[in-house]
Parts: sequence; structure tokens; C-alpha cells
Amino acid sequence: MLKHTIVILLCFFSITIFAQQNKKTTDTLQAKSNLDEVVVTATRSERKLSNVAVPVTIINKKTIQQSGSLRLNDILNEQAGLFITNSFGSGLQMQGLSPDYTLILIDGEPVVGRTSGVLDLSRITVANIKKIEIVKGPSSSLYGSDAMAGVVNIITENPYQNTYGASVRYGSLGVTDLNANTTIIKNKFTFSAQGNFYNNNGYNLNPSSPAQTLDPFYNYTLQAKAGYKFSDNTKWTVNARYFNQLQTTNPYSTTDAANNTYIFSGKETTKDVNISNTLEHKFCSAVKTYLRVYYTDYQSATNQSYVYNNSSNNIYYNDYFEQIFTRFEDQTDITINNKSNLIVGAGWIFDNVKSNRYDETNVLTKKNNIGYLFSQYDWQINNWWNLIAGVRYDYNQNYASHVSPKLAMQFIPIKKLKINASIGGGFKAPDFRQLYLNFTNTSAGTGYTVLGNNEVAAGIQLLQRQGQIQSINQTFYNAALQPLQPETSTGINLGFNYTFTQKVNANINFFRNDVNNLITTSAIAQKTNNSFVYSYFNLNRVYTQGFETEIKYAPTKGLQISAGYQLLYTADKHDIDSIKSSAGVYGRDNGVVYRLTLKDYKGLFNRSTHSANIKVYYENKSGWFTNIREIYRSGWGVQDLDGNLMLNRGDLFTKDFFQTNISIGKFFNNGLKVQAGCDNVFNWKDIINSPNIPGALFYAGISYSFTQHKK
Amino acid sequence: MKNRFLQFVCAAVIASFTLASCSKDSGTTTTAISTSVNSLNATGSDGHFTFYSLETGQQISNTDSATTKWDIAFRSTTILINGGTSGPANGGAFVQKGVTFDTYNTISSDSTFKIDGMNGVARAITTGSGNGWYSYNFSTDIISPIAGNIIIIRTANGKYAKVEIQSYYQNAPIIPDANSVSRYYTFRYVFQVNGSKSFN
Repeated sequence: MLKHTIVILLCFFSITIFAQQNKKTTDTLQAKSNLDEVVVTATRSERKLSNVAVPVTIINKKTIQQSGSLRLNDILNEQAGLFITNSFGSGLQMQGLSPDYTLILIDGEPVVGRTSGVLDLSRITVANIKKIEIVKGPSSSLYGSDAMAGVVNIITENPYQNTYGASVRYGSLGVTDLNANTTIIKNKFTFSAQGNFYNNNGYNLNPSSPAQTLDPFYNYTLQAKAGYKFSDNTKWTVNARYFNQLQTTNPYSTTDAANNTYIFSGKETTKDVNISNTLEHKFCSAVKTYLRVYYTDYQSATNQSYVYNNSSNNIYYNDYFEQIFTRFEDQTDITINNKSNLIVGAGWIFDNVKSNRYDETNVLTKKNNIGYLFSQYDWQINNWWNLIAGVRYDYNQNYASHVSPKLAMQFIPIKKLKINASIGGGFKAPDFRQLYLNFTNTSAGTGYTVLGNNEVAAGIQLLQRQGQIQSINQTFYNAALQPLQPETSTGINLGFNYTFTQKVNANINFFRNDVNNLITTSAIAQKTNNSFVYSYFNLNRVYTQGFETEIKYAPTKGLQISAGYQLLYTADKHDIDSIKSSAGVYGRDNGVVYRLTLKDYKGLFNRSTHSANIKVYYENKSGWFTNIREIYRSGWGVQDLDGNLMLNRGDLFTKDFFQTNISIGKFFNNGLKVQAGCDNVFNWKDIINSPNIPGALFYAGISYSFTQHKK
Repeated sequence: MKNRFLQFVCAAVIASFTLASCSKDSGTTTTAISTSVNSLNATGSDGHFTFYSLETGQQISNTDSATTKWDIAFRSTTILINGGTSGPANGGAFVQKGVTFDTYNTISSDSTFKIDGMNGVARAITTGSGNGWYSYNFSTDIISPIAGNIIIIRTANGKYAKVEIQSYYQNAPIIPDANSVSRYYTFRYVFQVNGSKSFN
């Protein structure tokens, strides 16, 4: 008893230390049927993939390595139904929902630090990732806010045998990726550490533009994991991660009409610390608890300035943002009998943001506290029917509390067929930016202003007193005066998985997400200088629906062929209502004005109706491996051209996206591996709409890993 | 997809022929005159509006701003009509939403012409994104004329015209981008010489 108390106290006091359960795992490099893999994200407990009633995709280490992926966006880009967006970094669009609505976890703990709602996936290296679990559909019943489209959980390698290794890779654009890792296991103690360094020299796709398309940057990630097994029933794990990135604007000069010269330069630093601490204790064979303390601190600082006529240095953009997120949580798993399990949990979050975005001169601190309770009941009714019901209650200091339910079922009518059905609620609380932003763009004379919802009344009053307001859009202004509500969604998924033979498996999942109270940005007033004042308010209701299917075929040992496809339809229900209304909506196609019918309406911006991929992975007994992955997306809408602010026939769409990636390599028996490859072999480019794609990229690398096998 | 595109191009070509011949016919058989104006400079770099007479189809010098020679004036996104607080004439205007320029042929008798600065109206042609003739796109920083919105004008001399703004950018690019030069109006209008409210 005393020992337990000490351990619990230790856990509480070391707030800055980390938490994640430490599981014995089998080597993922060994060939294994995908359906037997264990998933933890979908139910917050270990389950076989084949027994999970919600849509889950697993990407394992072997796939990541053989694909030659370096950052998280590289590998997610190759999955059907996932779309990497390119504003404010590489964001993830899932089931047609924006990057704001997918929760990104590392070992079950949330990654914070979003810009305009986008979490930049390129911050995360995929070196030393054991696997990535992707759960689609609303998962707020387990994870709370942001888990509206789904959850991506990056599971890092657990120390399970003494190893050390290193790798070097070099490629186009000066992309350099270096890794080193070590694992030490001594009796009850495990420790692993790894470091990653990544450099990119950047590129310029548009020679007529003096500024680089991508400025050069480098970053490094340090990770350490330690575990101690007090007894068979009690384990403690600490996980720490540190990320640091520096991006420098290559100085460039411009000249204005009056022959004045401006030399621009700048830098952006990004830092991210995550420390997590888990105490896992088994009270008896039926009751197990996980006590977790998690701390993360994300910082980004941007300074850009210009030198005017070789004399004075002027700062024109100075941005500072820091988010400190601390969470205490306990989850207890109770085995009621051999047919039913119960999970109960509770937690408290301190969420603090420090930024100069909320005030023109000062760095202000904004705080939010969130408390939550969750529970999930898992009932194996009989051998062909499983039912999972979950609910979570979130108390939020700044907004109304929220209840998120979820119900999922799996039926197995015949041995080869599994039917999964689930319905769940998702929500996303308004973020600090939507509440408190108070920003006036002073560069380039545009002078627009963005006011967070809490700042609207005072902000407009001030501008009016200063005589800066020319006109007010009364409808939107009134909407912005209403307090912001959380965005909420209901998602339905219906999936079928059929195993034809041991070699062929196919699945299809139909989905529909209805999002209400979507927070929109719109102009609420126009200033006397003709620029606009924007704010945030709950307005739109959107839906996304479609299906996703994948067929896997393994004709012989070592050969895996898969084909994936997603059909996606999206719409803003307000747009639909406007089109159907008697007044109608008009569009312009090649200069010809027409009245829109529903057929002319193309849904939300930045969505591909069709996306598909074909992947072939091959490896033979002598260690050679090769693969080819082809990714296709139909063109997506990027710009309204006819002033109706919706996407319709005649507006601007990108061309279809088509990318082929290849890789080849060989494993040697002594732990050496060599690999070379090319991403985007056919050099697909769209300079205007996809500046994140520089064209074909070549690389080659070598790695060495030594494993001291357990006796 | 390709087929559809071809069909669409054919349809557009046929439609444009039909439309072109229509306006020619109406030009010869009635007293309504169709005019197109390309890239009228409304940068207002000297602080002045750009004045224009729909009746003569000519730009009017800003020294004539206090006369009844002009019907409509442009500076950045703001459009004035010659009346109320903007000019000495009795001009008025309103934004007719949800119509196509070619099929809007008669100003209904119950239509109300607004006058700049009168009866609580700041501008007869309402300013602000989404209120009048244009929308402003936050993310692309582009002003687009709203398809289906046209401006109905009572001129300085009490005659009527319908106006469709087609572009706000120099040389009216189909896809304006960050490099496009703004505050250049491309528009077309039909001016009814006989003073009636019909454009047939």
C-alpha cells in the first residue's frame, strides 16, 4: 500500500514528466495480417483491428520506412480519403472536413499549437514511429473537443529490446535527414532515446517573384522514453519530446514605382515540448487504472522586417504565440465479465495562451479550464454482435458545457463479412483566436482588421469613435454580437468488410457528417479606407458525405497490391437554401451570367470529389524491396470568380492532381539498409494552387540498426 | 468530362451568337443603345472620382463634377450617381439583384430609385461586400462583381439605363490574381434614349 502511495505521489509531483502505457509488442517488421493488428485509439483500449466497429486505418512502421516518408504529411498524403491542405502549413482534411476538426495525438496525448486552426503535420517526424492509427468519424465521446472528423494517433516505438541505430539520407532541395536511436533494457528498467535532424534548403517555383516559395529551414526532434516496472501490476512510463525549428527568409529586394528599394528578411522559430507521465496499475485482474499527467508547450515567433533605401530597418510583422496545455487524467478499465468491459475516466485541462495577436502592442495571456468525464461500455452480446456505447461530458470555463455520445456496433452475419455501424457526436470549442483576436494588418496599406467574437462590440465602438467606419453589414454584425457556441457535428459511418480469400480483402465505408454552428469569418463592416473589419460567428451548416473503399490483394508472399478510392460530396446547407430560394443565386461562366441549379453547385472549396490510389509493395527473401504508389485527386475548387461567394460552374478549379512515388532498397543481414527513391516522378506541379509541391524529388539513404536479441 | 466540356463550349458559342444578334436587332429597331466600356480607370490617385456620361458614352472631366453632364462616377469600389449629395441633377439608382442583364427589360413601376445621401441612404449603390455590386474575398483579396446583380440608373437627364459591372481589374482578366491591378471598371450598359423604362 505504502509503495502504491509513493508511486502515486511521485506521479503527481512530476507534472513535467510523461505518460503512456508500455506494451509488449511484436516486431512490426514481421509480416502479419493487417486485420490482426492491435488498435488502441478507437476505443482507448487494446482491440484487434478486425474487432473494431468504427473505421480505422493503420499505417505500420514497415510501410512508412519502405515508402521513404520523413514527415507525417508525407505518409498521410498517400492514404485514400486523406487530403493534405497547404495553407498555414500542411493540414489534414479527413472525410471532407477541414484540418481544424481532426485531433492529432502522439502516444495518446494531443499536439497543440495551431495556426488558423491548422496543425502543421510537417512538425512531426515519422522516424521511430511504430505505427499511425487513423480513426475516422466523430470521436469526441472519448477525446472531447476537435475530434470531429476523427483522430490521428502517432504511436512511437516502445523499448522492447536492446538496439541502437543510425541513418543518413540526402536528396533534392538539400533535404537532409539524420537519425540516431538507442534502447537500453535492464531488468525492470527500459530507456530509449532518439534524435532526428531535418534540413530543407527551400525552393522558388516562381522566378518572377523575388520571394522564395519555400524559405530554407531546419529542425531537430529529440525524444526519450523511460519505463520502470515496479511489479507485474505497476508500471511507470515517462515520455519526453522536444522539437525546434528555424526558418529564415532569404533576403530579397523589391523596388517600388518611385525607385525606392526595400530589402526584406526575417525568421520564424517554432518550439514544441511534450512531456507525459503515466502510472499504470492493475488492482486485480479485472480493474486496471492509468493515471496520466501531460504537459505541452508550443511556441512560435516570427519577425519580419525590411530595410528602406539601405537605411532604416523597419519591422513589419512581429508575431508571438505560445500555448501551454497541462492535463491530468485518470482512466480505469473494468472487466465486468467475459462479455462486457467498462471504461471510466475523468480529467482536467489548463489551457493557456500567450500572444501578441490579441492586442496591438502587448503580449496578453488568455486562459481556459476544461473538466471532463467519460465512460464507454463495451458489450459482446454474442459471437456475432458487439455493441459499444460511450459518452463524454466536457465542462468548459469559457463556453457552454457539452455532451458527446457515441454508439457503435459490429455484426458478423457470416464469417467472411463484418458490418460496422456507428453514430457519434463531435464538437469543437471556439479557439482563442476566434474569441480574442484583435489584429489590424498595417502592411501594404490594406489595413483590414480582424476582431475575435469577444472583441467585436468594443472594437467596432472604438473604430466608430475614431471615425474609421464607413458602413456596417448589420446582419453579420448582429450575428457577431452573439456569443460563440461550440461547433457540433453528427457523424454516421456504415462499413462492410469482406474477406474473399486469404489473399483478397475488400472494405467499403459510407459516411455522412452534418456540422452545425460552423464558425465563419465574414466582413461585418467596411472602413473609411475601404478595407474591411472581420469577425467570427456561428452561421453555416455543412455536410460531407460519400464513401471510401479499399481492396487489398496479396497474390504471393512478399507482394501486396492495394487500391483505394473515395467519393466525396460536400455542401454548405445555407448555399443550398439560397439556390433553392425564389430569389436564387447567379453565377458567371465564361462571362455568361446564369441562374444556379443544384447541379451547378460544387460544394465546399478545397475538396476533391474523387480521390484514389494504387500501391504495390514488393519484397523478396534476399532483402530487396521496391514499391510504387500512385495518388490521384480530381481538381478542387480554389476561388470564387462571380461574387456569389460559393463554388459553382465557372469558378476556378485546379487541374487534377496526379503523383507517382517510387522507392527501392535492400536490407542486409548485418543490419544495414540502403534505399533510394523518387517522389513525384512525373514532376506534377501547380505553382499557383499547390506551391507546397516543388516537383520531382530524388533521395538516397543508408541506415544501420543493431539489435541484441533477447535470450 | 471532356464531352461535357465540349457540349458546354458549343452551347456557350451558340448562346453568344444568339445574344450578339439580339442586341444588334434591338439596336436598330428601338432607341436603346448598348455600350461596353473597358478598363475605365477609377484609381482615384488624385483623390477625384472618374465621371462618366451614359448618354454620350464618354468620360467627363472632373472639373464638370458640379454639372449635369455626368450620370455615374467611380472611385475604387464606390459608385456615385448625379443627384442628392453627390451632384446637382436628379439622378438615382438601385441595385437589382437576381436577374440576368439580357433578360431584364423593364423597370417595374413600383421600383424605388435611391438617391445618394437622401432619406437615410448613404449611397444609392450600396457599398460594402455583398451589399451592392461586388463581393470581397478575404482569403484571396479579390473583388468580384456579383453575378446576377445589375445597377438600374436614372440619369442626370431623367432617362434610364441598366449597367452590369463585369470586372474591377485592368484588362478584365478572367481569373484576377494578386498581380492584377484593381480599380479599373469594365462594364456594359443599355441606355434608353426615348426616356421610357423599357429596354426593348
